[in-house]
Formats: sequence, structure tokens, C-alpha cells
Amino acid sequence: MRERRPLRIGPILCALLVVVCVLAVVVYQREGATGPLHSVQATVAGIIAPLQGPGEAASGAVDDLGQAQADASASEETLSALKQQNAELRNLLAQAEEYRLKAQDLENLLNLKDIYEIEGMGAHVIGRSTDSWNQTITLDIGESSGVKPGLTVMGSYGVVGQVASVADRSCTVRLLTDPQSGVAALIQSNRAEGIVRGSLDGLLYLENVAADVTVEPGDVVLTSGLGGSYQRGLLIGSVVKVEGRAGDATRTIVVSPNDITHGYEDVIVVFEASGDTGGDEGSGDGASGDKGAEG
Amino acid sequence: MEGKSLLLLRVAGGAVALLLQVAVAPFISLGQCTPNFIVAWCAACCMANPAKPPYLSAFLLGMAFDIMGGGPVGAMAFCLLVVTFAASRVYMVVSNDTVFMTVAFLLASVLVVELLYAIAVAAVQPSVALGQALLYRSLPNSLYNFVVAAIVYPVVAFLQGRLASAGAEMPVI
Repeated sequence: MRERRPLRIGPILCALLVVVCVLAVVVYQREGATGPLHSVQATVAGIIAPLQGPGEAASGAVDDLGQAQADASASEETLSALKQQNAELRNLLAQAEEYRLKAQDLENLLNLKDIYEIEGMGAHVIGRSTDSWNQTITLDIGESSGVKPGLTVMGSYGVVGQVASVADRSCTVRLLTDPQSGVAALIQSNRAEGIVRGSLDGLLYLENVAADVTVEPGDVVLTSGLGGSYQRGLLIGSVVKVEGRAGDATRTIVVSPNDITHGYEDVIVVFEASGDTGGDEGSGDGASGDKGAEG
Repeated sequence: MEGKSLLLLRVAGGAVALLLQVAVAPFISLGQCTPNFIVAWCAACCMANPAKPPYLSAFLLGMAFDIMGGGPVGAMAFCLLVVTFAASRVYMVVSNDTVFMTVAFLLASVLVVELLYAIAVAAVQPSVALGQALLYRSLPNSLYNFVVAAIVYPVVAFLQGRLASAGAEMPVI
């Protein structure tokens, strides 16, 4: 009688699981930002965020230790350079305060405060991406607070990203530096429009700027509000590098973001900005806004 | 008994890898490169016992990674399954019980996982260029994951050996 070969369950199990994975990827790709798999991702991000607290504290302690060691071993030359730098910074701070007071006076005079008033909700960053392929943070407010996918998120000094997915009590924000991010922007000095995109190399690029526009390092970049994904007139950053000249088809413009959320800090989810002249929130046109949020 | 010990080891190790991925990995990033403890764990398990590749661990941990992150759900699980299957098969054939071969397979495994994942991400997300994904993510991630895997592997091999010997000493009832 012929001996029967034992059934090898391993390869069969592996093949079945591979099929399940492929199906999951297809479903994830086809469903929208509010689909079940995206919702599970957003919910899980809110659940696991508290686990990152001790890690953040330990990370901060290690950074402080390194800084303390560096400070203790600083040479006399370094100290004198730092003192000089400190004096310069104090001078700049005094100047900045003057400008601020002057700006406040002008703002009051022209009632600009009313025009650019932002209605939003403060939120605390409670988690960050667990992998290197996504530049996201998790906030401690969600659908129950009125947060919706597509809303703009601002730090203390400018736009940091856009709400990508929302759970009941938390939401995930895709940062500007994420390669899937894209925001319709304009250059303040010449009103030229373009799109600021994140990239895998960690830089922000200003693209689709008309070829005849002259762009210089230092030019301030704001959100244009086109497409309605981001509120209009919010500060993104400034141009730091321009490779190529006006008329050059392969011109590369690098933008330095004005605000980056490094650690656990507070941000504002912008519900409405009075100066907004864009369309409805979250109705991205594909050229701007978070493609991930658009699904 | 050996099967139960192996199962216990993989469940416990997988849980630890998952916890480290959530609580530790984001804070030990080098630049924009975050280590992947799950890939390192699966690769180490695969090399420590190629006759019993951790298919279920690879699937569950990969899915957990995808759900915790912001990438396409199922992509990492797919990559881990494919590499677990291929690496264990090839390793059983070519392994000559040298450290070099194990190290080479660990490196190759984590590299292929990252390459496959980069291809999957580039395919699903049109804004991600494959060249950039390979250059800025896959290669640095692979090196980081390899370092982690090289630390994890001896631990797994040691624990597996201890559990196997403990199982052999158990009286057969």
C-alpha cells in the first residue's frame, strides 16, 4: 500500500494569509478616509498614544543628559561665542518686540485682528507615528469635539499639517513634511501661487510656481486657500533655497516650515478663519490638501 | 512540549516587539529612520528555527504594525509573510551552521522586507516616488533593523535552546 504524504499545513497557511493581506490592501486602497480600515487605524492611534508617554519622558531625559554633558565640556572659546550670540539674540529680541508692538498698533488701527481671527480648538499632541514611512501625530481631541478630516492644524508659529483621520476622542494629523501632504500656497511678496509638498527626504518643496516668477530666499509662503483644504492666509514658512532661475523649467524651491512639532506640545485645530476666502473644508481639489484624507 | 514552548516564546516575544514598536521606536529614531522591532523579531525567529517559520506571528504582527501606523493595511503583513516563507526555505538549503551565513540571511531578510514595503507604498500612494522611497527609507531602515535583529537573534536562539533542553528533560508521561 502506498504511503500517504502528511499534509503540510505551513505553506497552505502562508498562502491563505498572503491572500488575506492582498485583500486588505485592496480594500484599504478602495475605501475612503472614513472607511472601516481607516477608522480602525484612527481609533488604534488614539488607544496606543498614551503608551508613548514614558518613552517621551525617557527620550527627554537622555537629551537633557547629552546637553548637560556638552555644556559641561564646552571650551572657553565656545562659551565666549555663545555669550556673543546671546547678546545678538537679545538685541534681535528687543527689535522683534518693537516690531510686535508696532504691528499690534497697526493691527488695532486697521482692525486686522477681526479679519484674521481664527476660530479653533486647542489640542495636546499625545502620540506620534510608530514607523518611518508616515509623518503623523495624534491629538487628544476627536469627532466628539467637532473635529473633521481636512481641518488645518497650527502650531505656535504656523501651519503644521492637516487632520487626516478622526476617531471619537482623538485624531491623526498628517504633517506638512509627509510625502502625502500637499497644500495650496502663495508667496507673500509677489502673490505667485504654487503647491507646497512634503517629501521623503524631509524637505518641503514649493512646486507648480509659474516659470516667469522670481523667487528669492527669504520670501514668506502662506496658504492660499485654493481648493478649500487649508484656511487662507496662514503662515507655512519661508523660502530657504532656490535652485535655478525664473524661466527654468526644472527650478527647485525649498521651503523651511515655520513650525515643526518636535515633541509633545499644544496645537490648534482651525475650525474657521475669518479671512478665509476658500471653499468648504475638506473639499480638496486633488491638487492641494491631504491626499490621504481625500482617500 | 517543544511545540508549546516555541509557541509561548513567540507569543511573548511578539508582544514585547509590539510594545517596543509603540513605546520605544518613535523615540530612538535616527533622522527620519525609525527601527522596526517587528521585522527584526520575525527575521530572528526565522533564522533561529527555519524548520518552523513564524507565519502566524508574521501575519499578526505585520497587521498590527499596519493598523498602528498610517500605511496601507496588509502591506507589512504581506512583506513579512513572503520573506518569512522564502528566507526559511532558502536558509534550510544553504545554511552551513556558520555565523556568517546567519548574519547574511538576517541582513538579506530585513533588506527584502523594506524593499517590498517600499514597492507596496509606492504602488498604493502615487505621491511617493519609488527611487526616493528606496534611497531615503528602505536602505537606512534596513541597516537600523539589521542592527536590532543582530541583537535579538542571539537572545532568541539562546531562549529557544534553553526551552528545547528543558522540554527534553521533562519526563514523558
